Amino acid sequence: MKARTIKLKPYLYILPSFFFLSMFTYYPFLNSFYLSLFRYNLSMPKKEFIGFSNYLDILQNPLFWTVVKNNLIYSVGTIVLSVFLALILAILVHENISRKGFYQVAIFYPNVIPMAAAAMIWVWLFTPGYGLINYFIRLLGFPDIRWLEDRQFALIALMVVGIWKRMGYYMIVFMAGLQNIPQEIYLAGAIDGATGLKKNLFLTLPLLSPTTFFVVIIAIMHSFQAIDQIYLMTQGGPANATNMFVYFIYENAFLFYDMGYASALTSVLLFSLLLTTLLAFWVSARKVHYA
Amino acid sequence: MKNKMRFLVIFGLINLLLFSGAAFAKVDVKIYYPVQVAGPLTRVIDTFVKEFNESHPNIRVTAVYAGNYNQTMQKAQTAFMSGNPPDIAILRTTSVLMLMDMGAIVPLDEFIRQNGGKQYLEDFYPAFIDSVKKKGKIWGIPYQISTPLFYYNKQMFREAGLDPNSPPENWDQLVTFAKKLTKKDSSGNVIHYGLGFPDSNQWMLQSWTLTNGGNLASKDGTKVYFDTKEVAESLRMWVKLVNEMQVSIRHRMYGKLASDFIAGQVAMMYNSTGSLSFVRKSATFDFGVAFLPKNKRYAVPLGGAHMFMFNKTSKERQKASWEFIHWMSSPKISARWSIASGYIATRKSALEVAEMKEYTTKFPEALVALKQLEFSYPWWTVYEWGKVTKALQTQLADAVDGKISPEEAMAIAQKEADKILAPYKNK
Amino acid sequence: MLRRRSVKKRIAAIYSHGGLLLVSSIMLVPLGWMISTSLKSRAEVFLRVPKWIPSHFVWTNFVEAWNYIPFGRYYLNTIIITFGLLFVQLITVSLAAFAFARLDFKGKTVLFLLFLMQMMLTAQSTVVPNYLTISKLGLLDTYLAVAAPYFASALGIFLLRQTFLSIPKEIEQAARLDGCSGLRFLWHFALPLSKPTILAFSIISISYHWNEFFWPLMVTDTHRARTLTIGLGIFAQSSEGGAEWTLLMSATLIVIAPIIVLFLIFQKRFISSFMQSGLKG
Repeated sequence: MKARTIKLKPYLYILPSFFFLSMFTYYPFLNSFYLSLFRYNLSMPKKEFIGFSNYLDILQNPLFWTVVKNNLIYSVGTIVLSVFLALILAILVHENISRKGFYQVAIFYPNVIPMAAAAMIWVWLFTPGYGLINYFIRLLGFPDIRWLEDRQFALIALMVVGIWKRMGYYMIVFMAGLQNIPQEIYLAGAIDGATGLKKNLFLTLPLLSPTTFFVVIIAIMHSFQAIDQIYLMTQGGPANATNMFVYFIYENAFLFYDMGYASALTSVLLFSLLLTTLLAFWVSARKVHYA
Repeated sequence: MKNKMRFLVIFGLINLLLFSGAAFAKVDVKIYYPVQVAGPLTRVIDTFVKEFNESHPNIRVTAVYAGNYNQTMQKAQTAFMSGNPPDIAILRTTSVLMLMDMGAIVPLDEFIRQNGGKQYLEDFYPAFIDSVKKKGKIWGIPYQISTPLFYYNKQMFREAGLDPNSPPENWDQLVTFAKKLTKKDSSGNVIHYGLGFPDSNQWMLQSWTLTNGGNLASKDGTKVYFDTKEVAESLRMWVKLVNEMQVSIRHRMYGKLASDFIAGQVAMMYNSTGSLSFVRKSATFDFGVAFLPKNKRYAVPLGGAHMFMFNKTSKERQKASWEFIHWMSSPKISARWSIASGYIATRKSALEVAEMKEYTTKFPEALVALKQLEFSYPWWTVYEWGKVTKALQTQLADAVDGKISPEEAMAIAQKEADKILAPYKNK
Repeated sequence: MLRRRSVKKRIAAIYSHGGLLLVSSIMLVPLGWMISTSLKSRAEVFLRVPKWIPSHFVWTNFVEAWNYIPFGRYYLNTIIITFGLLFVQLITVSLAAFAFARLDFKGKTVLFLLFLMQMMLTAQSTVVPNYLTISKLGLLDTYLAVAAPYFASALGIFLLRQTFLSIPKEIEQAARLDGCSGLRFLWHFALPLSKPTILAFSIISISYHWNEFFWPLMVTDTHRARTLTIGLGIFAQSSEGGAEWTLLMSATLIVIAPIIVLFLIFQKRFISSFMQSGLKG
């Protein structure tokens, strides 16, 4: 009797979490795939089964590929730059104990405020003519940059905001990683002549690589789900120059009311993220093996 | 025994309460509304609702502020689809076809007939009613109307040697003035632009096309006319002003453009009558307003929102809703809303209301907007307006940025629109 | 040789401090400019040569911004949603983390990996199906709608499980001998011993949900359940008549002030919380 009750308990403990995860994470996977097989427009009460037609439409839609391209540029650009800068900053701050608190606060605080607030501030900063950023651009001798109105700069503008917002977070993650590297390794390395730049290149970086890898993977996944700043700053424009995945889904679902198409897009996104996760786990498993 | 007595008394009292409650039962009316001009306007609406509720004790109106036009439309649609529609929603005029298609709204002819009939209708500017007259029935009552308006900085006119009381009247003058009013520095960078207008926007395109003698879509909303000479010529002007001559500021939307005007970044602008209050409040210089410059004729498209009554609610609620709609469209309320919001009063007789007379004496600019209504046309609308608009506006941006020619852009837009509208050909 | 080394070190220190100072200043510019703008009069905002200190401080901007939209109500909603959600999360997370850390059952590894998957997704990518679910349940425009997708937290489970795993088995055995096991053990021993982790997770959860924008925007209609960030968004969108930069910056400051103040007071805690969440690799 007692043996049976013990077996049930763990499942009961997990049940609340599992219930909500199922309803809001796993069920959406299934539901979006199911709905993607229909023509389902909110203005029409009936759903019409059309098989994989939505997916064919997606693949043939040049706008979809623009959206994917934009998101890739945004993700890679933001992450590579933020991680690179964050790494340098982390090393610098780590090695300078004085005023560490100030630097941490100054660089990390954007992470603590809402993206919505950051969007408001940066729209104001990017204003042509009387905005602050263009004032500095003019000081450097260049003409005003139409940050959010010029299709060449709009994506760059969003990337600037993305980097400004998240760089601090990567910096402190790296700092945590740095703190975990035992001093002995550096002392041993110093005997072998590894100081300064050499030390950082050959010792610090490789030792940080598990941290780096994980940080980058999460960052890529999250950057494909960016929406707040697009919604508030550019609405995907000008002319879809900043249209990215989740905004594209939002447009189709809530501006065009095409739930079938939006569900198909959702499925594509979710499956891509799932694949990336599995890939990440597989790669990290191999890395651990070699470490 | 005593307990039984007590129980009966309490039971009786409860029943009495319930039934008396029923006797005083109010009819609940829920209205969704968007506020597009400024936050404090929600308080004005709250005041209206309060006044109505107090003067109509058997109706209780609750006003739900639902966001911007898109969000309000979305909420209203979802509510209807899930069987819980609002009674009234104030939505963008162009939503009418989609709402009709969904069976979400009811025609108002019968109500109108009982409440003023022809007299009532004729007190609205005809284009306001035409905008929602489809299949011979009237599907909404005008609530807030705006039109594009031409604003210009008189001070900058003087500085450029132009007569501050003669704004450009046609496209040729517009080009000349814009050139004169654009100031560049020694290296050719623009210090301020002569002109500004939302150059990838459908409302703007309709404005220019109308003044060029054309229009963007058919009345029944099943066909678009993007691929026509009048549209191409308008777009060609845009390309010339923004891209070639660089005398018009690129890709700035209504709200930000108004700020640019205040900041002296643009000397003339096409904007909405909805910006009038903001401009008047913030301008540190002498400014004027005028009709949109014409090419073939004076013309303006209407913008704004109508009140729509929703389907699938009880007859009782619909009756109460009509009372509210009728009250909200009265000359006095119409005048008060216009003064508070900067939207144009929908009733002609609103001009006679004392507050309105005072207002137009103090601010003659408002009269210019009203005079322009003589030349007003309904806002263009088609089925799946959102999708068609997106296709159009993307092509407009491409053309203005010089990526393709205006004719090519409009051909593409036409093709995409035709594809989207194909299933609606036989509506 | 010693002197040369210390000179080299000092130069390096000057360069690094210089660089850090430069970067820090750049990072602080947006915050400073926002504060500066929020105190200016309308006209001063349009100058081509920016002025950092307003000629006179217009404190009424904050009053005007506060009255623009029901900020008071939005503050209340945000507080209720954020802390209510945290409360539920702590319950679901503690139970699940305990099971994964201390109990053995069939399918444990598979289930754990399944749970971890949630860390890769945000509510944004599942917005369409989740919106339809909430809508069908008739929960639109309620606190529940905003909070429900987050009641289960894979991150919380992960962090707390780590901490539980580090509790020595001896303590558990000793407690069991005293008749304290399962839930009792969780409540009387495991949780108190995990206070730092719980605090860390709470900070992350609170700042994430205080700042969230898109999901709440999709599922709320009226001031009944709207949050502060949505209020800010409405503010921005309702300036269709003309962008009021001074008021917009004041409103932004009103929205972020509490979290910035909390951050400054609890700097070390904040930073170490986020450090912990990153050390998952």
